[in-house]
Amino acid sequence: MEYPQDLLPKNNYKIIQETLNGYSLIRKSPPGEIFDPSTKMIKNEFLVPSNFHNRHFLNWSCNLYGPFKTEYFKYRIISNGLNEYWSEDRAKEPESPVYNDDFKIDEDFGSYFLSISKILFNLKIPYDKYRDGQTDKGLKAVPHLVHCPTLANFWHFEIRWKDNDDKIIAPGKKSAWVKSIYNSVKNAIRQFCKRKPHRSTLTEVPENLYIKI
Amino acid sequence: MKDFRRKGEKLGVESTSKELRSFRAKYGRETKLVNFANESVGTYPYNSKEKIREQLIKSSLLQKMEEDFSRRDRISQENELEVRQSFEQIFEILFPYQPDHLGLEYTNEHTLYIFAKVKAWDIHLETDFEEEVFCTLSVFEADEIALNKSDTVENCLMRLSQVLGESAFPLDEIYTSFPAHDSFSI
Repeated sequence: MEYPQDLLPKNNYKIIQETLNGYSLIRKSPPGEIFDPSTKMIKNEFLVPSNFHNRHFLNWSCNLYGPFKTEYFKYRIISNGLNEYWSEDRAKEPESPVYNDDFKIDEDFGSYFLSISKILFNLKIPYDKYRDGQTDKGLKAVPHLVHCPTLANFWHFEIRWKDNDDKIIAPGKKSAWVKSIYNSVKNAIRQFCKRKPHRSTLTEVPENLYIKI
Repeated sequence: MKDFRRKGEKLGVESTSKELRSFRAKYGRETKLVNFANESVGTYPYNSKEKIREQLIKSSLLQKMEEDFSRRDRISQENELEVRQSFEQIFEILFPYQPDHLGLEYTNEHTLYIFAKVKAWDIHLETDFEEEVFCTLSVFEADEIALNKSDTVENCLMRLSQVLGESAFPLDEIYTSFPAHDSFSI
């Protein structure tokens, strides 16, 4: 069983810095009917699986749909080392994962999609911050899509959030304002996630965006 | 007079003449619709189709809640009562505004999530019953987040009620507020 070669980072690849407007993100979920018949929104158990806490919405893993095809979810990495981040200055090209040692095949999965434009351009989460006896009002948290390839998946991205002072919000921070933001991000994902990508979504990534010249 | 029957059809709920007769036999006086501040926003008679529609929608949501309860880990009677009371509070606020869609999910995390579509607004309201009752209200208008608030259920509903009572969203009043403390443990 061969691992898909187009998932592996190559020596001449670079981190994508562009905003990728027009593209969609795809995320794996447990199998089953992922939308609730009553709310018409994604069911909580698909959005928040058992190993997930709402704080993880502040550092949310996803994949770039197009180069990352839906069927790639069946290649389940079991070797922790392959989930490490890849970097451009890495001397050696990652080796292809080996079936049964590094990955297994798991055909039982679901998936859903998010438009990058909707997330990046429509989402500015308002919040207030209570500190030292006073409340700072009218603050805004903004999302950032960060390309974070792993050794076994070049098309892995993360949505992170910056606070009003342009600092990344650490998911582990235990403050009420942080809790408010990650709960709101969860509602935003409910609002925007879809069963299928929009028909006009882009799927081909120009080589100059990810290959060094 | 609004055509409530069409609204009911949108929600997938149709009143039948049998249900109408049964309801009319049971109720016979007028009820007042009030918002969170107890201000009157309308009236309709108990024996009206509107009241039947309300009851049908409410019972279908309660049935959904029962189904969700049965699928989740068992919770105490006290916790279940808390969820039901929260639902009643939220339903009373939302229903008078004739949502085009109203749905609920009792989640695997012991939260009650309610989604409502009212006018141009998509309203997400999630109440977390673990540790302390904490509510997150997010309102989207044309896919932009127009209001975000995390607070007690009562305060979120108060704000929602203000918003629903307004003809347009006061975007300059966007705010999020919190209980006085600023730390909690997860």
